[in-house]
Amino acid sequence: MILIPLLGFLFILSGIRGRRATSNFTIFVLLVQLADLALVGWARFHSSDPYRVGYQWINLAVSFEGATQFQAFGIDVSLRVDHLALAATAALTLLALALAFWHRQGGRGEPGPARFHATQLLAVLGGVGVVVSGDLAALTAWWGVAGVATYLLLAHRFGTEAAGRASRLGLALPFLGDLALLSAVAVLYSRFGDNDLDKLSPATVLTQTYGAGLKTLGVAAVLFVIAIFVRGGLFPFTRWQLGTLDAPPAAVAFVQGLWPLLGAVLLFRVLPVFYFGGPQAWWVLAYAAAASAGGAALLALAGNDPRRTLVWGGSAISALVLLAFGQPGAAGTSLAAALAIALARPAALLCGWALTAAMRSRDLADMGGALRRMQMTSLSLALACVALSLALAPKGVARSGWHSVWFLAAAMVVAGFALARVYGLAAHGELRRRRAFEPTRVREVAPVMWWPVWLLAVGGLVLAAAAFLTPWVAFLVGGKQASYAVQTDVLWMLIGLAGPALGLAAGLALRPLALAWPARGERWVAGAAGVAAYLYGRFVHAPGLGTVEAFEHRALRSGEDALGSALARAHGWAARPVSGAMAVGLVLVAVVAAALLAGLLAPGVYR
Amino acid sequence: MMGLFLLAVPSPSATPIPVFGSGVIGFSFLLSTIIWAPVVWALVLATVPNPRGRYDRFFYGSSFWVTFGVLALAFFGYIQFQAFTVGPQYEEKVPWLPAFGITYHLGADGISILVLIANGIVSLAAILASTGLRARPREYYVLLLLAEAALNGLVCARDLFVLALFWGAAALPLALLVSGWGVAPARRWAAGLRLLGYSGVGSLALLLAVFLLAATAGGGTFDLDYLGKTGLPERAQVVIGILVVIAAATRLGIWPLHGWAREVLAEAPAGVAILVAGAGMRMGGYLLLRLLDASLHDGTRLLAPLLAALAGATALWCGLAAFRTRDLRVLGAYLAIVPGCVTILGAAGVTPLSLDGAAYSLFGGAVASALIVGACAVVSERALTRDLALLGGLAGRLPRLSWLLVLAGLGVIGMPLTGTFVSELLVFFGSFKVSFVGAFATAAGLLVAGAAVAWMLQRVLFGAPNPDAPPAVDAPLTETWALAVLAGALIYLGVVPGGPKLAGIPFLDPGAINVVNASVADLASTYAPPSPTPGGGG
Repeated sequence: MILIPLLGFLFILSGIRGRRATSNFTIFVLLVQLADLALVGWARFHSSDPYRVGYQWINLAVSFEGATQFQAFGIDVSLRVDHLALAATAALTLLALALAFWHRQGGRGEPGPARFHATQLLAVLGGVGVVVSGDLAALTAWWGVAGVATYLLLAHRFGTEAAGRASRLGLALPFLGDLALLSAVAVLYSRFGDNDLDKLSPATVLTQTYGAGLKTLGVAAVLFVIAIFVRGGLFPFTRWQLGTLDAPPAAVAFVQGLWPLLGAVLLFRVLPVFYFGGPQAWWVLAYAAAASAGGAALLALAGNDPRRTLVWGGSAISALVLLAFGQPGAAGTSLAAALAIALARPAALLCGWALTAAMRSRDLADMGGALRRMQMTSLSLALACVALSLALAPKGVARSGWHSVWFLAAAMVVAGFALARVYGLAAHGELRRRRAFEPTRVREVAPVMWWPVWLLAVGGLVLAAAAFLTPWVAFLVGGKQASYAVQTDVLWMLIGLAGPALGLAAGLALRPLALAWPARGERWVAGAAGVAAYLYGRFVHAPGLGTVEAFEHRALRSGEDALGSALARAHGWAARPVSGAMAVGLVLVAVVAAALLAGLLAPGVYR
Repeated sequence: MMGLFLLAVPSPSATPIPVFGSGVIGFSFLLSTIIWAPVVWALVLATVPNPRGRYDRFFYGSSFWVTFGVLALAFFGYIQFQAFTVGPQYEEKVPWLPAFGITYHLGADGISILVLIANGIVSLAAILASTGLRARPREYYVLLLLAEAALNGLVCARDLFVLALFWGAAALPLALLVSGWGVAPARRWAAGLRLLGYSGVGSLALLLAVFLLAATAGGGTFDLDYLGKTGLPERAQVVIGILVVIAAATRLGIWPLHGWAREVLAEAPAGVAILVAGAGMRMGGYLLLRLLDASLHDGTRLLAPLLAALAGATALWCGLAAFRTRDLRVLGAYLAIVPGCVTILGAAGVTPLSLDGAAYSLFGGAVASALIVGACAVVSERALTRDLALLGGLAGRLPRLSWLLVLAGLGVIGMPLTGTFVSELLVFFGSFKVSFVGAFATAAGLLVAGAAVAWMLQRVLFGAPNPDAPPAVDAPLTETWALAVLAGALIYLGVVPGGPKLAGIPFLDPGAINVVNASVADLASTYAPPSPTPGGGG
């Protein structure tokens, strides 16, 4: 599972060139990966115990004294293949495969096809590494590999200013998440002396290790939350995903499908830290996820750019998955939802991209009639929106307090509404003629571009529906799951469908309002962002960098100049001959001769 | 107890499989040869007649092969190194000034042997990067070889007086190189003086520390093996420790003693900048490990918070300062300081694991720093400008250099697949228990440095080329070789720190990190986390 994308990556690096060749080879590698997964899945289907194998990477006996758990340190590239790892790897591979097909046509104008496909395989490698890792340090390394690949994917179009900004955002902001993850794992190791997930998980280890307690677990939990939020692009860290929308669409879609899934898998792997970290750890996760979901859902309502709305909506749904993790017994359904989102979110984004490209506008006010002109794209968008809205509907996600239930339901409806509003406004209504734009020339994208998106959307919907099935959830988490009454299922399904229904209705019946209010909201958001940017620049950025500049260019330089002048004055006699090139040899010979003389005359050597 | 430990801890066999290269070097003067061979060749070069520059290429070629030979010797020393033997190996001990207790004592433990290899690789890259040099090649290569020899001597010295001599001796040729061959004639003299000035302060502090240490320990010897085992009073350790930190700070470029690094790394020619960033600056970290952590245990514990704070402050400062500069090479200089912060944090972590990371960062940080300053220098040479306002859109014009610059940037901040990531991992894992705040501060500094790297890559590589900028041409293979050597070392250290294994069979066993660990486990045994007592909170 690790070797196939790695070898594919190395093969492309070693010299496969040309658009067709690299694309074909990438697709071949991903198909082999799928076949391999099928074989592994066949072998491990009935086994609930994970398959473990480890390859030593670092093994050090660091001390012969002190606490025994700190006497040795090791990091294994340990593979822990359970059902979740299989499902997540399959989802990632399918996503990569669909996007590789899409990119054959959609990315035909992109520079550097070999670079793109090599980076995509590197991202798959990093993603698979994260989901199969049984060692937290190795997981951190794979996470970083996926991060590097993400940066390279988003920085792919280097020739434009927008790509430059995107690359900066794609490296600098997510690096915060990488450092948070590294710090979280380091905090755990510094107290427990182990990185192995299986050895860390038992309650006896987490609660009875001397020197470690709630504070340690709480700090680690907060750091894990930061890592997952930043890399997942959840509000308020969505900026790096919004700012990179001008990167190649396949890259953007892949990144937005990859990271929420990796975040959910990471959260599932480290859930014991939250379980035994006391109520504070849960509160941090729950309140942060709720705030993020609420904020993103509201921001999805502000603005008429379909791509931004889809990013905000997807971000809100991804945050709700994390919120759902906090509900008792809901980890399995949350994971099932994360799998569905990993396919549906990229599908929605690609549809949004196709619509904006075909209608040559990023304003929903200029769009309409896509259902007639771009039928498959519109249907894919509708399916993806429904899949995203339904993903969280399974009843298990909200069994605790009523406030969680109400919040979850409300956020689901708002996010679903925002997502479906894009479909309602773009697919229906009239597409009007504009300057230099002829509506009749709007056509469906090429089949090689719509069918991968269609498959992703259908896959997302199937996975969202599968989340209602208790056996599927039990298969994912490898344990028994409680079953619920059919009425509960139906109720939550209705809640999940309420958002899209309202969005569709708004697009059909209240089109002026559905365009005007978000436009007004966008102006408010832009105003608030401007004020925040001004305050940041006025009170943080300018004074901070001003202080640095004042020290570097005035205080330090004047001190150095004083020292330099003193030296120059004191050694002026030496400085002058040294400036002549011929004198260098003389000085050196003199120094060496003096050293030799001192050494030879010294009594020690003489004796 | 020992038997139980060996049973419980998975560790490599104590009798490693004979590997290729072992037993090749059988003479007793390995370290002296490594140190003095470049000096001897420098003397030969200084005296060879060179009518009308006929042998200019000979100076380059012969310097390259001498440096390559030194690297090969260091490499064979590494292969032969007994990773399971305590104490220095390849020892040479000749009384030099017995009246003062000074001996010509050389020795190499795991840290030294790895730093010797790092010095060799960096020196080789420095010479490769100087291939285009036309002005006064004889003097240039003579000084380069002398600097290399002094740096290797510093690493091998087991007598503190000799170590201090090599410490001071390394600065002179480097300062002359910067002053004589710097890029901008108007600024290179000042840059050389800065290097000399800061090094003078550092040398003075180190000499004071050495004399104080020897005097406090009884005054009979400067031998590190003896002084490292004497239990000095806490107060003396703190004073000596502060002096050592000052000396190290002048080399590592720890804030606020980093001014020379900015000027020197920005003004020096590419080869010299690579040598200074990759070998010269690392010596500060080496001194911290060799003298502070290994010999002054109580002083280290007391100074650890100060060191950790300096690590965080330096990383943060360099990241912020990088944002304010308009000069690509100055930006590269600031970034080259950042890997040193991980070394300092590791030294401040005072756990065996953090010290392992600090020692490993002497290699990983060396190649990362050398790569970033080298890449910035070559890019600015090829783009015919170093002004960030003019640079832009170079990714399409300089594809090879662009990849190297991206790798260098990622290496500086310690992204996976690079050697700096491994050292960061070890340092952070080891430091969070003792230097919790310092570790977070350094992480914050790395974050700002990461933003600076992202900003630099955006400004230099992305966007449309500036129409006002001079035309840029990608570097030929001869110029990128130097950077490729560094990039290869950086990736090798990141991918196989424990040594490569072919079909499960170790190759070049033990790995670099195991060689380092053999010595760190010896010097850091007093820093082992104590066995916990019931009732400890978390």
